[in-house]
Amino acid sequence: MNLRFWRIGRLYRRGSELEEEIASHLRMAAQERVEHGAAPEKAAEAARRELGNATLVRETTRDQWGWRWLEDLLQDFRFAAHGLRRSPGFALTIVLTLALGVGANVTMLGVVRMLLFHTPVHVLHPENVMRVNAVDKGGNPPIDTANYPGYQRLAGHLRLLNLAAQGFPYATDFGHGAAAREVQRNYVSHNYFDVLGTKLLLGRPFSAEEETRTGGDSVAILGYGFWQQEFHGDPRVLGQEVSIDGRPHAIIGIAPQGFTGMDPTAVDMWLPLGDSPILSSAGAWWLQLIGRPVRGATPQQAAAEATNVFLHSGGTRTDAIRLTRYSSVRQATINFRVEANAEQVALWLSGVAFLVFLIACANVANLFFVRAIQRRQETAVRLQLGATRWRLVRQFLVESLLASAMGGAAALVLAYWARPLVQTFLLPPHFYMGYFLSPNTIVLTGCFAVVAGVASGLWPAWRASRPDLSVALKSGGHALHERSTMRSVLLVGQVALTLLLSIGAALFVRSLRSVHAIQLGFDARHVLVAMASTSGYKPADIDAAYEQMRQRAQSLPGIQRAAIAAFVPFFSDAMGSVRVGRPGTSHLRDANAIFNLVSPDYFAAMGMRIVKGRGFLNTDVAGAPSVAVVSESFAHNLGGSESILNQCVFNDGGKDCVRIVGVVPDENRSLNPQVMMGYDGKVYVPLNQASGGSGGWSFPAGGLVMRTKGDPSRMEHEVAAALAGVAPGGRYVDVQPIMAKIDQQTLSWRMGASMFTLFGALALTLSAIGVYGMLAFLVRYRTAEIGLRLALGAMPGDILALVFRRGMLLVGSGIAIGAGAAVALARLMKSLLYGIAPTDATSYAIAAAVVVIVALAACWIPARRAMRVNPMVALRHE
Amino acid sequence: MKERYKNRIELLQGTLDLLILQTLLWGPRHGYGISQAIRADSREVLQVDTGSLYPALHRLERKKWIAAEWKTSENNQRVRVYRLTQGGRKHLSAERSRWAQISEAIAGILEPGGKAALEDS
Repeated sequence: MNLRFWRIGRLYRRGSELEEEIASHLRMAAQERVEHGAAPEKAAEAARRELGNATLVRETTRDQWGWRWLEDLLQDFRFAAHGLRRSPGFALTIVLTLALGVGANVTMLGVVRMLLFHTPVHVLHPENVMRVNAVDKGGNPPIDTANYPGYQRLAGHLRLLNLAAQGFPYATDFGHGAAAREVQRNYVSHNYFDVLGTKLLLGRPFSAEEETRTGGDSVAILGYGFWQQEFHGDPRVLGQEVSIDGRPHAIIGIAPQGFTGMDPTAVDMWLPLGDSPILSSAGAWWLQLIGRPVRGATPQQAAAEATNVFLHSGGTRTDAIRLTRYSSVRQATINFRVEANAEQVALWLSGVAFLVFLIACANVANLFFVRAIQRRQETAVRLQLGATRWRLVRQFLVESLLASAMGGAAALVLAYWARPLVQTFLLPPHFYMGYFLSPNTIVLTGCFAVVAGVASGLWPAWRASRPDLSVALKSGGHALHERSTMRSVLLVGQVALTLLLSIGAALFVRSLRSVHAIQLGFDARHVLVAMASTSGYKPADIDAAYEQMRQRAQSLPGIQRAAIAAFVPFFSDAMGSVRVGRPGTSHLRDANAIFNLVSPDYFAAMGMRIVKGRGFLNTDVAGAPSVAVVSESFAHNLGGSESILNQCVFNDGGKDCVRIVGVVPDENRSLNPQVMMGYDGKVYVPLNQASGGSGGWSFPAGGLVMRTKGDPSRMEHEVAAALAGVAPGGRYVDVQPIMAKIDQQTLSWRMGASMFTLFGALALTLSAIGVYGMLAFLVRYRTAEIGLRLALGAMPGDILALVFRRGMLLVGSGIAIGAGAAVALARLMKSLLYGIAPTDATSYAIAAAVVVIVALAACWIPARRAMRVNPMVALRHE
Repeated sequence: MKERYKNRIELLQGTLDLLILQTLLWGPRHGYGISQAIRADSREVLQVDTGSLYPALHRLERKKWIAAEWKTSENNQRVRVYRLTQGGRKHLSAERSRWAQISEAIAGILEPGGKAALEDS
């Protein structure tokens, strides 16, 4: 780059030097003539004559340096910049069009990159950091975990490998009692940050002593996000004591923003290995080893040394140590609590963004073509004067490249502005996107801009520089519409792609609608769910604690009903096989059922009506006759022609008849249709009876469902505070509306619907501009013909038909092609849609109607202009 | 005065380079000086066309056979002065021997001996 500037600089200097050199030559020649007695003016004149064509001399001389092309290119750029400045409307349209096309792609590719690939941040040369695995000769899968004693033996003797260890991120309690919350913590060795080359934002890493300190006060390093959220980024937290897992910890450091180690899983805090109760246990293989070969050592050498050390230190389980690279491709999407669909939808959307890019390029190509036509006189003159075709093509190309470079720059600005949108619609919650506009992104934008410039400029440039075309054009524009085949092809393609996107948008919007219209079987809008941390409690104690919580919740003014369930839809569930039959018969039918154990008020709290029979009563307790309630689909699948009421359900292996006393609507527990597949329906039994052993079902209480009077999200904190006092062991209670959980599952459809609609609208706008441009051009160049027709007695309606016929022919072809392509492509999208066929006629019809309406609107303005052509003016102009 | 501009001979292609290098052998000169020297040394027979001189100078400079720098002339003008480089010197001697061969060959053709041979046939 520098070299280039330097050369251009030299070029300019040389240009002015040559100027001066020739001037001095002229002066000396004139002076000599004066010395020989000539008059000064005549002498200067004669000297100039002797020199000949000064410009030619300069140019020939400059050619000697072989920089003519560069100079020409600079001239082309100046010319192009001038041309764009002179028609700002044209320039703005092109720049905006390309900005949208390129910006959409850069954004989507950035999203895909973030969703599918993970580059560790704040890790020095992450490509050199390896997993340290143990392998045996038996060819078994490598062992990716280690115990602490093994790690210590290895780490103490390695010279070629810097070895660190970390546990697996896991949930723990932060804070005391009611204020306690669940956070993600990870145990790491004291040199963890050092081996990764991570500089803490504040404070210091762990010391070797802290790593092995067991009991007493400990220390913690907080993640940036958690620090911001919990302490508002206050640096004075260093040294402050907090309670983690019930133990006091002093905060000694803050990790840099976005740091998650080598894995993408977010971590709220890092604790020293010594905090773990299983630190010195040889039987606990709970550590992942991370190694970085020292400078100058290859991974093979480091692995060989590690193997050697390990075998000599009494390693038993292993025959060799192997170093493997961290894969850059994300493997577990579970970490992000997103449905895997989201990534698939993101990939589709990048495809869609590329279509928008193509449409944008087609539009720009058309615009350049029109411009080329407008310049045909100039082009013809230049060709006649001997400009080479290459020179002309280059001139046009330079202009399109300049425009696309500006488009690319605008695209970067757009992509930057789009960040909040991306965060809201396309990424999982709390996803770190600080590096969205990376140097890669900028390079990518540049590539797109160049492709756009060449793709949209080359063809018009080639056509415009064709000598015969220029000659033909000189005699007027009549023959032009015959020659615009390529433009028509572009336009048809544009319309086809637009329809494709519109159909995609329609399919997604309708999917989202059917997702929202799903008969959940319960009224999700007023349900709040509370779950308490109960690890380490006996089932009976858990049930008792939940009962206390239920009573507390029931006493709150905003709560209509509170009930307990073993499983809460969208959170958890349990399945098993049952047999169903009339009491006393041996003819039993097998069924796969989803179970739940609920307290009497459950159906009321969930807003489920009783379809048949009764719900549970307070009298359905242990000792009373065992009863069950089933879902409608269960009744339908197993009752057959008879009523399901009063038939018996037998738990697998159970001998006692559990009498079915009621039927309730099917209650969805996931939006994923596949989750429901293979099950005949749902069976509910009373929690009170089940824990008494009725029918062999036994699960402890798992959640509290509460029916709120108003918006459940506004009661979250109040309920959490009220329940904390009665929660088991005074631990924290997680309270959230059930809709929050359901919304997580609808992310992919929301994302698909919003983005397809956005891109569809973008495509529609671009195509409308395309159709309008095409027809406006047509009308302008057929003005004379239209005038003649009017003069010969054609009615304005005929002219209108003429323009519309032309426009609609193109749009119609585009729609036919687009619909065909949509049928073929939408099948691939089937798994992403919900409750709607990929060939859903309504979606196709809506999309086609929208495209036609927009196209008609785009035809209307040129058509009206055509109708108003004044025959006299038009003919005189001719 | 008018006589000076008569009897011009168009230079053979390639010979201009040779003449420029030869002229510079006696010391650095500016462009105008070179053209004057060639004219004077050829007794006004060879007239260097300015349109060829400067391209030739810049071509030679690019090939690093001559080097240029800005100096102030005797009558206080800024002029670009060219001088022969070591490479130019080498090239000159090679070109001179080539030139000698060519002129010998041409002379051989034009000599009476050649004419005799023609008459013999």
